[in-house]
Amino acid sequence: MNIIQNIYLAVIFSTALIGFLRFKKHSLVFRLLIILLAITFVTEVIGRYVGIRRHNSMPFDHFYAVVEYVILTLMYSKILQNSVRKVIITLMPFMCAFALYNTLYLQGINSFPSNFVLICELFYMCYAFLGFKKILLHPLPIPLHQQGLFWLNLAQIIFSTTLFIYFGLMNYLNSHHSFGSSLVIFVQAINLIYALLLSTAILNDANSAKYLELNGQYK
Amino acid sequence: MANTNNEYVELYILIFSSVALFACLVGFIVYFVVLYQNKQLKNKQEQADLEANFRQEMLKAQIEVQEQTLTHISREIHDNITQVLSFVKLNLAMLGRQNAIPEIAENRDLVTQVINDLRALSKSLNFDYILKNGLKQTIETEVERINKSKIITATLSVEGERYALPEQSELVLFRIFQEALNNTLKYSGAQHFNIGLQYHPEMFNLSLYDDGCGFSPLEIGKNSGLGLKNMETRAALIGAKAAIDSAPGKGCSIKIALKLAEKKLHTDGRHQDRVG
Repeated sequence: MNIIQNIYLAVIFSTALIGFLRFKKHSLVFRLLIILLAITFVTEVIGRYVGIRRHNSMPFDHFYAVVEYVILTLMYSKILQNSVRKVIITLMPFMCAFALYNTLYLQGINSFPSNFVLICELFYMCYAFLGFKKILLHPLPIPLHQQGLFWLNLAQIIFSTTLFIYFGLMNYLNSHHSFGSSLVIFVQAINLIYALLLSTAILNDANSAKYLELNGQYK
Repeated sequence: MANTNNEYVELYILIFSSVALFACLVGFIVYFVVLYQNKQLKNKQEQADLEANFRQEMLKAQIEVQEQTLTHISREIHDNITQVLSFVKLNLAMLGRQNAIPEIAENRDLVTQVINDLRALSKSLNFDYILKNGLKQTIETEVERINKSKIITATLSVEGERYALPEQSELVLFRIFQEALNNTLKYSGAQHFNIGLQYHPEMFNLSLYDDGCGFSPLEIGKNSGLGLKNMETRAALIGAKAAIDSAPGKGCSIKIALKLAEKKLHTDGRHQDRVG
């Protein structure tokens, strides 16, 4: 593990810890995010251990991809409007079924579930754009940088778009036998930025939670 | 060498893609932030407007209730109290004819004075009377009443050719005059109270001045300054501007300026924002 990965794990762990210590102060959406970060940390640590011992941690990636999709979808179902909420909740079982089908028949449990992850990243990009639209339609009387939802959407949009580009680049460079360590460092840096943005979102959630819950928006 | 070249190619592609991507993301974020701030400002302005409208509606309701109460009191004074006092006066007159006691005549005169004072008070409280006679005549009546009391010397000066103001404006201006007069009598210790009505073609001015002890506007506390605040808000309700100027030892001057073009919005009897 290099220093970027260590910092990444430290950020996730400390954010999850702070989140659990202030759990009751957070809105339901960010409580789910704190739980996701905790699961991410555990999965990363176990995955790395298994990766070292058995040289393959892909089964954890299959599990984590589904968990991440379910939790993020539940979060955004609370954030977004009723009509969109119904659509994304309705799609959830179908996506989970596709994840299972992908694991069993398409990519196998020992390879990275890129089919499922790429589709999920498209979903997350859409969630983030709709989340930004929600912020515009219902502005709060606090600055934008103090709103947890803004940082959450920013994290999602940056991570999803850069991950999409990363997979595209990886496929291109792989086919030209040009895959290098710089791309690995790039994706690790993106993971770290994602973790930092999510931490900022959780730390700022206390400011905006009271306004959103008073207005009846996402409980 | 080939591997090194491939690494460079990979690096260039990576850098170019990253820069392009982040440029788009930064552009989107900046655009979103600007859009959000504009929206937030607009919302704040709308909220401020709503609050201002609410305050105005509350004030109109308050003034309406006050006018109704004053009219009710006026009618009670006229219908009940003065009637009873008239009977007392009549009985005293009959007693006076039977027993020639000087004190009876003196008390009869006192009762007559009370009846007259109550009738004058009743008129000043009743807005129908004010609207029927107009601002100038109503203030003239009040000036006569004040001068009879000999507490203070009041003078009325009228400039320009008199024209009729909208009914609601005249009512509000008269109430401001009454408020100012009450303050002068209660607090100023003034000897003179001057009232000026200036009828200009484009503007009407009501000026009120007393030569009392004056006050410092900064020292007027939150509770004791309500009368002054009331005058300003009543003036604003009819589209007029109130300027209150005073200093310790320098008396108090109140000027109400009503632009005749703006008054229509607030005092048209059919307008939803009408007073009363």
